[in-house]
Amino acid sequence: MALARTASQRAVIGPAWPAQALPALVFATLVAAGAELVLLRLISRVGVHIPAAGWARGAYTAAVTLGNLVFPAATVLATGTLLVMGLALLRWWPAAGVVALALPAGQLWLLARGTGAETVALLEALLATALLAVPLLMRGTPRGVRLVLGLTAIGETLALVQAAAANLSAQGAPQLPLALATGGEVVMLLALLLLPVLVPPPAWDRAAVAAGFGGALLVALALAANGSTTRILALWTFGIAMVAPSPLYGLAAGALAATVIAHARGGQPAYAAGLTLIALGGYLPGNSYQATLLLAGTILLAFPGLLALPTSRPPGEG
Amino acid sequence: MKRPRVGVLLAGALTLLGVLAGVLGVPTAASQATTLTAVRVPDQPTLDPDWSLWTKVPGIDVPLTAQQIVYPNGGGTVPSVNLKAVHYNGTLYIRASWQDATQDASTLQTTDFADAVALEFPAKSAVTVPSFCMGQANAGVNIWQWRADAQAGVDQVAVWFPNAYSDTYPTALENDPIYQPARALGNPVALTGGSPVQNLVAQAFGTLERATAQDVQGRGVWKDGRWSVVFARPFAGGAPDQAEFTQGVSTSLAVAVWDGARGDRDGQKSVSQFVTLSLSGAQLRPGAARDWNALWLALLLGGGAVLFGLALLAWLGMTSLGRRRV
Repeated sequence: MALARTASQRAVIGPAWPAQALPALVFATLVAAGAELVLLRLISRVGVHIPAAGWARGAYTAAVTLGNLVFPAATVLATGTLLVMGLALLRWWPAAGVVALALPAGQLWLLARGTGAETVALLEALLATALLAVPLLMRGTPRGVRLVLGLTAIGETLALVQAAAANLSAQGAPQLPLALATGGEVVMLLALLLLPVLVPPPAWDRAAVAAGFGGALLVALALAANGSTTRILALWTFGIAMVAPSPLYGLAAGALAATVIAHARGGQPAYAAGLTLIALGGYLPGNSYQATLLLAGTILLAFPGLLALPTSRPPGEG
Repeated sequence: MKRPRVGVLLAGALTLLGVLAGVLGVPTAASQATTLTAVRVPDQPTLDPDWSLWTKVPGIDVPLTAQQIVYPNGGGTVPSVNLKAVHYNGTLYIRASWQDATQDASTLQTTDFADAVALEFPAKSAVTVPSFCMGQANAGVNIWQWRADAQAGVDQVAVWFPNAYSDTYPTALENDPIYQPARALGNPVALTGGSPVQNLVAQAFGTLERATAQDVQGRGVWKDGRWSVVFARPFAGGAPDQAEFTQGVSTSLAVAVWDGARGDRDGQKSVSQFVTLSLSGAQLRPGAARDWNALWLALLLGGGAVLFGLALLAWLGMTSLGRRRV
């Protein structure tokens, strides 16, 4: 992998434990974030349809209570993972390490300062800067991945800038048109649709193809059964307003599922993990936790060798 | 330490830390939702949407979409609503303004529907942020709904039916509830006088009801194709199913708008997601102005310098690698 090859040529600075710990941390974050998305962002929001009594209410309450515990666990795991990513990158690639560490450091500092509209605008600006910096710092990664990351950064930044302006309205900031956020979503959708071409796995096995068809079919069926509820759930869960024609979202879901499964089964596991983290982070992240997921996924895509870094000094160096 | 153990131990420790934070109620994330800041004003506001200081108060534009979850569904014809908020002496004032080409303030005919706007807050007793669609079982909502027809009153009968005639009733029976069943039953549409704003509570679709205390004041003005409505209520909510406000504390706020000319009523409306309402202790300073052009330029230059610096660091790292190749 590019980063590992480059890393073996650099002087080793710092401890080896971040690289040792990263695979387990990434896995734990994926599990926790997935559980949070299902229990909290999805199940708790359909509470409006749950009857006020009976077994359904009991099951719903249990799921929501579990979700309320999973959320802080996922948040701490995501922040810890990003910090360890930064330390691992700092060892081999200082500039990228600084970017990875800047977001959680900034979030922790701002959280300690207290949350307010200005704080939130600063968080949004910090995330946008970090996302835009990653494609610039990539070295040796395929052009397709760089393009996907560039589109992701641009799409997210458009929405973050519009939201930051709204949060600074108390200071008299001019309001930016909502079309910025709409345009950003279209850019993100384009990145998803092009995933199989831009981030291709070595081979497309039956499982990946089945996942692709399954993902597209699931979205299509959901839209056909109850398009309005599906759109609301998409907004709550992933932050997308589905401004483009509906079939495109089904295709995008299929493209994402197929690419993730293909890389998980025989391609680049870091790509699978990175794409999943980006999806879990969502569009225009609603909180600092989702912003952390987004940046962690972006960094994994940009530096896939993070999950396979050498942990000892390279040969020939004392 | 062996490779797998470090990661597993660290992941386990972080998970436990997160669960502990959740149990103790320690916040682990900051919300990045759009924030409406209610600033403190030096003078007593009025219910007039054209009160002079409103032009100095910055607002936010909140996007609206159609309500598509339950029947009757639809709406979505109003693209956005502008919100401003201030507070004075323990009373919160919120101004909502949106484009509407026609002033629809009559519901005398069965095919007429009135323009309206509603603000929705989590109830004091809510254990979590409720679904913005009328709340949910364990998290109710408090809704303040202003209607144009409630403000216009029922004096339009003579306007629409100028030749109408009714026998006179004996004076003693004029106000007898037996002859006014809607009012006797407390039908809010039939009640006259008081505020044109209804204070409502709900815990999911189909559970909407009038709150015990009707303490929300409001007034709306339609001018040049735009409605502007001001709501006002003291911070303290009496009952647990009411919203409560505290200076320095944030809560959530969602908006719904009905365009009567488009047949909007009930669930057919334009709705927003929750935004954050932050009650700031800072006082509005109408005279203070920030040079935003200079600030945007500084942010652009600063951000550009940071990105350029990082790219330069990366490039220098690459060139030094070439010289130090093993």
